Amino acid sequence: MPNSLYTFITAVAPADQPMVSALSIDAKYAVPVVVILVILVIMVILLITLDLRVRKLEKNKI
Amino acid sequence: MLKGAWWKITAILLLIYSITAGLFVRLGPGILNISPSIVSTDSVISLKVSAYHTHFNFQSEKSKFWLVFSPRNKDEKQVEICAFRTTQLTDTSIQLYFQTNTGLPFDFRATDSFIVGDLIINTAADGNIVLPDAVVIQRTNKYQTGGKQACVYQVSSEKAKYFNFPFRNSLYETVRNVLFHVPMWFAMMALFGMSLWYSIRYLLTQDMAYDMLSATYIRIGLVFATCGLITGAFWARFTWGKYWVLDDPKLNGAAIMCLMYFAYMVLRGSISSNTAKAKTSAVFNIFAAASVVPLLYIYPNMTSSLHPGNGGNVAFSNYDLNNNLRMVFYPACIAWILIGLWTTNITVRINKLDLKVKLKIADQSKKNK
Repeated sequence: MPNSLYTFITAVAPADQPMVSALSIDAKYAVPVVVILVILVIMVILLITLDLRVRKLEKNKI
Repeated sequence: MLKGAWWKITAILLLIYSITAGLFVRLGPGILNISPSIVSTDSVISLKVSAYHTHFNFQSEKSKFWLVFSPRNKDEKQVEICAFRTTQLTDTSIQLYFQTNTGLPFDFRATDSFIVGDLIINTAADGNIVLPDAVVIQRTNKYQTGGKQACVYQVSSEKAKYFNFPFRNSLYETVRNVLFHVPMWFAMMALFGMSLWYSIRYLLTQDMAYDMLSATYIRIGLVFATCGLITGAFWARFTWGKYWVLDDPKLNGAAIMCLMYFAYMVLRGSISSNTAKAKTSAVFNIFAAASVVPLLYIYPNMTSSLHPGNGGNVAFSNYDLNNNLRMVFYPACIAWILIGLWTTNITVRINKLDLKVKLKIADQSKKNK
C-alpha cells in the first residue's frame, strides 16, 4: 500500500499499469484528518442527541 | 420516530459522503517543480522533474515528455521539443534531456533574449500532466536554428485512470478545502436569507414567533460565518502566506458583514422591550441583508482580489472546479445548509420549551400569591 494509509476502493487498472486506489490519504496528513473527523462525528452525535432529547421533552408536554 | 426526519437523514448521509470524499479522494497527478528552471541554448537541457502522485513507468512506451512553446503572434505555430532521453529516478521523479545545442526547431526573434516553455507529460497511468511556464530558455550566441523535431507531438485526451481531485499548482492538497470553506458561506447565506424572510414576515404580522425565528437563524448563520472565516484563514496562510490579507476586498467585505450581524445581536441585547427589540432588529436585518450583496459580490468584482471570481479572475469554471470536485462540492453545500437548518430547528424548539417553562412558573407563582 505505497503512499497511502487507508485504501477503501481499489480502482481496476489495466495489467501493465500500477494499481491506484481512488480513496487514500498520505500518512503525514493522518493527524489533521483524524481531528477533523472526530470534530464532525461529535457534531453529528450532538445534533442527533439534542434532537431526540428535545423531542422527548416536547412529547412530555411541560 | 423517523416521520418528518427525512431531511435530517439526508443531511447526515450527504455529510458523510462529502466528508469521506473530501478527505480521502486522492489528488490527481501533477508536477511540483523542475530544476533548473532557467537554462540556456548552449548545451543539452537536463531537467529534474519532481511530480506528485505520478506513476512513471518507462516500461510503457506510451510515456512522452515535451517542452511546448506557444506562438508569440498569430503568424507563428506552436513548437514542441520532445525529450530524447529520460531517466527514471522514482515513481514521482524523472530526469529529462532535451537537445537544444544542435538546433532548435524555431528561431528566436531579434528582440527575444529568452523563451518560456510549458512542460507536458503524457503517460498511460496518469494521462496528461502540464506545468505551465515550466522553463525559461535563455538565448546565447552559440544557439543554432533549423533543428528538426525528434518526435511527434500527440497529446491524447487521456486522464488519470482513477477518480481524483485536480492537482492545482500553489493549492496542492488544500484544493479539497473548497469542499469545506465554500459550503460554510453557502450555509450562512441560506440562513441569513431565511432570517430576512422571517424579519419581513414579522413586520407584516407582528407575530413574535417570527422574530424569534429570525434571530435564531442569524445566530446560527454567524456560527457558519465564523467557520468560513477560520477555514479561509488556514487556506490563506497556505496559499497567500498570511492568515488575513489586509488589502483583499472580499476578506474585508466578509469581515464587515460579520461585524454587522454581530452588531445585530448586540442591538437585540440592548433593548429591553420585546416589541421594540423585535421591530428594530427586523428593520436592521433588512438593511444588513441588503448590504451583503455589495460587500461580498459587487465591491470585490470592481477591484482586484486574491479570491477567484473577482477582479477578472475566474470562479466555478474548469480552473477552480472540475467535474470530479463538483460531484462532492454540491452535495457538501446541500449537506451544510441542511445541518444549518437542523441546528436552527433544534435551537428554536429549545427556545419554545424554555418560554413554556417560564410561562408555567409565572402562572404558578401567580396562583400561589
